[in-house]
Amino acid sequence: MRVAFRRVALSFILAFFAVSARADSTLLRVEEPWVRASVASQQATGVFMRLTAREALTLVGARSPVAERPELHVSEIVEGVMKMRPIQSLPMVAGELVLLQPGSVHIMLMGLKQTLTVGQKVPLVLIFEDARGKRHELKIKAEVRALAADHPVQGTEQESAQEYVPAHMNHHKHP
Amino acid sequence: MRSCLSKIFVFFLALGAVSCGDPPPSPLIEAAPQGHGQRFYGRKLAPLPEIETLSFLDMNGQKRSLSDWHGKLVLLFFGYTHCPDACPTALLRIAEAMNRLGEHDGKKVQVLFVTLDPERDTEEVLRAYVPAFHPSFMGLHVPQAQVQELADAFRVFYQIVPGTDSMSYSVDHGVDTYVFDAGGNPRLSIPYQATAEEMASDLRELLSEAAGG
Repeated sequence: MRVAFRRVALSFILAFFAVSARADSTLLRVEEPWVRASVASQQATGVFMRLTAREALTLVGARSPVAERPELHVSEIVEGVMKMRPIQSLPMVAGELVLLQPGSVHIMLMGLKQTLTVGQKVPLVLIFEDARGKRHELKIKAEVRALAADHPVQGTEQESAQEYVPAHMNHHKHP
Repeated sequence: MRSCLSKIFVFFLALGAVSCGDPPPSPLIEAAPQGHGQRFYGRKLAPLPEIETLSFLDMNGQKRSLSDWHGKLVLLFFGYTHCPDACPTALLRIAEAMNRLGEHDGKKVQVLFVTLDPERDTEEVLRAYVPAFHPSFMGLHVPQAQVQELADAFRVFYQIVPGTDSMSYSVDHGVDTYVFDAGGNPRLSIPYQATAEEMASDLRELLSEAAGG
């Protein structure tokens, strides 16, 4: 009886997760998220990924247990000078691929709390809003790549896209 | 986003040019002599007289000046470890160029990473960061109070941009790689966009020149 109850409860919980997971992963597709490895005492590093919004969305921030303040930044090289600035939000057009990549928009993990080593998976929550201003969250894991890593390796998105555990902001915490 | 920012930047550049009366001085690059463009991918680097007297500390705490590396080609890149992409990308490309030179020629080249953010880039950080790209690379720093002087001496763009708090500032900086020949003379400024092969080709040319070829 007790076992049966647990089983029902468990399947209910699982079903709930499955539904909310589907709801948010259909809003925003995240591919190949990666973080540049850091070295001891380094206080910031960049996170990069490919985003495709299913409807008009705005990325407004992120959080991660490994950094005090993940910030949206844009960097660019103009006339031989590298410039980096924080930005408040990143609008995403429905169906259009948005690249968070070196030399462009990216997430900076400011106030790193630990050294990030190659192969480590960094939990990250992407915070975004839909056209009605409703807030959503998507929980992902970004793989740490070598400090000297260049652009993301192509062709692994199918595989890695399935690793993400999407989550909804106000619904639940992981047990 | 990018094109918008570019326009804003170009606007301010234009504004600067107008309000200063004269166009901003660009002492970095002299007019390329005849044939220079064919020999080298990098642009000719103008004389930098103020750098003679500069001294640095290396990532091991040892006092250094550029003359310590006379006899080798010296590649100099300015940056900071909080730099999300330009610095790692540039250092990676320089490391690739070194690999293309091979071990024999690679020993005739010293790559120096000079931090423009010594406040956050301590020797400990530099020791971990710089050799991650290539074991032969050396990190250099000067006291924070001398960074502006350093940047001016090398005519390298440098500007601290405040962030959300006192430790989250970013540092806008020039991303060209400077090359000095074995005699310590400023020779080339290789643009950020150069490929590893273009960079390696310039280094081979300078090495063959030193060998009397």
